[in-house]
Amino acid sequence: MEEFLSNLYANTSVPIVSALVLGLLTAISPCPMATNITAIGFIGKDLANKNRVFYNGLIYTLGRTVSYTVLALILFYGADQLKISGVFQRYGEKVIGPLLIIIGIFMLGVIKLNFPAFKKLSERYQNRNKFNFWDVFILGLIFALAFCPYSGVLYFGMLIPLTISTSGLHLPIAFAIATGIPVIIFAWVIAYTLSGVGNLYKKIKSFEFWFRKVVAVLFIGIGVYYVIAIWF
Amino acid sequence: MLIAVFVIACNAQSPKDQNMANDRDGDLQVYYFHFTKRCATCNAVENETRMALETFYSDQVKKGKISFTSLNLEEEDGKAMAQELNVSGQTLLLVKGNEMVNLTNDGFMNARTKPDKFHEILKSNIDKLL
Repeated sequence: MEEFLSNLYANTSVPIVSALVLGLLTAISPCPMATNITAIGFIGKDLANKNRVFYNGLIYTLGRTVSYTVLALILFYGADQLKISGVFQRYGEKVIGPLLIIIGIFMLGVIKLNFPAFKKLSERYQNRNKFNFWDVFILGLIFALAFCPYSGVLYFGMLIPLTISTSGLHLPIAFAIATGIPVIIFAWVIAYTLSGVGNLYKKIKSFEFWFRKVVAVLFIGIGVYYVIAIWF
Repeated sequence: MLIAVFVIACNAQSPKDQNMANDRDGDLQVYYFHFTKRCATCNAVENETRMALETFYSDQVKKGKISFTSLNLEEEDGKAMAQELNVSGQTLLLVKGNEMVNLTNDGFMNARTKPDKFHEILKSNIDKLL
């Protein structure tokens, strides 16, 4: 797959195809894949509501699109590319581990803090029925910025120079959509093929409760993986 | 613990020595900048570059006409050299006098999946500079 995509990238002179291929290469590289799997768990937790699961996949990709596009705009309009790309490549994945652990802990609801802000946040992540547009959107926004060594080169080293040289400000959008494609596909599969499982289990009240806990543990597990791999 | 020193030079030159070497016409410096955390492709770019230099240019490497330096961007040596060469992220750079060729994209696209193609690209660019 990777070889096929890199051949495609080498043989195309159409910028939008290059941007899409770079996005797909990013999507299948280890770090974005780990964050995408976490995202699929997060958006799949509303299993009983099939449309919501699918829309969440789109909203997550929208979040990624905004991040990649705004960052590209900042660089396009003359920000110091050296400084910005250095910061993101250096710290992007260092922030993501602790963040995943914190979100996972809030979703688990194991820490009960009486500060109003924490209480609200904890309730928000455990709330079953609330439509969580902003949660999913922000997840996409943040996960997109978790650049790993390989994805950093694809974005800062290939996509941004291509965007600047062709004045193609639509290219980061194409790139972002391609990075979110696996999540959209899985969201669609979960929503319209596996949701029957959700309906079946909906009768068992505790299913969704425990599914949420599994997703929380997934967040913490991947967060711990990042922390160990990067900080130690 | 991530206490890692990745500064390895084929001809055991320090970056300071290489700055001096850089000033000499006729010498080619190959720099690879990386972060402490490295991915499979990042390692492949370095390993395949080393392999290509040893395979195609062993004499020049022995004579010090071509040298390879791997620098960690999170360590002082790496930061200083990166600033000097205007580098911010992972980069594979050929430097000869005032000429610079950035082969980062070719490295990341080919080193792991198509090492032979990467060797060819590297060789043709080095030959142009020599």
